Amino acid sequence: MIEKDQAIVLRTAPYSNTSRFVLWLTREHGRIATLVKGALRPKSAFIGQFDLFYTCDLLYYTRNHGGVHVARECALLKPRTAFRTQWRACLFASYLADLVSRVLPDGAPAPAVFDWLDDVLDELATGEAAAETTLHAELTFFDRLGWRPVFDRCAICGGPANQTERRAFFAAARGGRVCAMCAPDVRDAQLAPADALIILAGWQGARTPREAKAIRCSPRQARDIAQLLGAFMRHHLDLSPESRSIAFIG
Amino acid sequence: MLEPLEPLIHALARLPGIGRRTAERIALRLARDRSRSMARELTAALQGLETNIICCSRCGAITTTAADPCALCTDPRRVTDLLCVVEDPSDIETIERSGAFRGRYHALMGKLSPMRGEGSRHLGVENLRRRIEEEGFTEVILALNTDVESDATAAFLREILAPLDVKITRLATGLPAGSGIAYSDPVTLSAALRGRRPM
Ligand SMILES: [Zn+2]
Ligand SMILES: [Zn+2]
Repeated sequence: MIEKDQAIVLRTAPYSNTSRFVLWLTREHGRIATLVKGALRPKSAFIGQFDLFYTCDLLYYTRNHGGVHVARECALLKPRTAFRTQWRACLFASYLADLVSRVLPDGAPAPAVFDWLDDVLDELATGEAAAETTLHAELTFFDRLGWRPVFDRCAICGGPANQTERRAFFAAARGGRVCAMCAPDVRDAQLAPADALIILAGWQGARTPREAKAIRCSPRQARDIAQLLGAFMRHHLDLSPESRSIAFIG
Repeated sequence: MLEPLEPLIHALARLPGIGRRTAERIALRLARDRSRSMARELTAALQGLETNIICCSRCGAITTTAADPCALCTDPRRVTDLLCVVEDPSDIETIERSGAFRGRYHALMGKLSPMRGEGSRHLGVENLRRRIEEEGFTEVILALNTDVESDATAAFLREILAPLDVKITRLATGLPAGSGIAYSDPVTLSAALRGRRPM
């Protein structure tokens, strides 16, 4: 059978001298793998039509047994050339592609995740505030997977987050912020910078991406937020990808 | 039936370009060779590799423990003020075969690729910087691949090396030999246009 879909390149690897193996996030069919035969031949119709983080129109033959399909045609829609010069943004794009390829199973439709990644890559390709964009993206990614950390109140008693509170707490296992009253009873509660929690609550409460973008953070706050979301990811997705620490720390 | 061959199949399947199927075929072929000559030859070659073959401590090219730094680093007939930076030692082989370059090399042993577990720390940039300062190169040629991550790596290196007193160049990219405008993609074509030169 032939399928046609929009697809984002998550990973590529050599398959033979002239062919490549490509992992895609498609809009309608989720994560799929294809061979791109003859991709590297000088007159191949595939030359320059796909590379990491491109969004493409993909036509492929489905192979149900081996799991690896065969690409028939590919036309690039968005090459996002900025990643070729904005190396910091490229590191974050690489991490997010890795995250998606680890979290999604093969062949399960995930149009919400596709739209999310397509938007985030567009945003990253502007080359501005790559770390912030990525942190905000993680938050919306958790949301799409059904994990919504709580930042605007105490995750245990529901009490309002006290904006003047200096010592705030965060407990990944309890799903977010914990007030000073509840914290002593929570085993994994860690002290968390209140300003980082307030920014996270702001991002979460923003009604539009533009509104979220207006809430900026300093490099120190970005590090704190990365640490909190990292703990959340470790606990709820059982993931702490090396790509994430490379993108955030180097 | 393949159970006794499992360790060998597993080891072979870890090699680049060899999948499970191919690994099984190779293992079976070795197992059914009564004379054992194939296995003996392979064992000797692998043992030789383990004890004698290394990457040059200076440039990363494949060499022997007896010749480290390698001939490419020490040959006085080579040009000493040009440094060609590549991603992988195999790129050194390829460029040498072309005969188009007679200077020194430096293999990064990777590129910026978090998804492959490679970040700036893995590239040994300090080493590269030290070589440029100590060996007095006047030009550093970034001979990296042209995929997204390689391009980003080149941008990173340009930023890191900018403070040094050295000219930094990048290999020209353009239409592949034997190809035509009709076959080229927008990314290549715009790079070729930007890189055009007077004739
Ligand atoms: Zn509470
Ligand atoms: Zn050498």
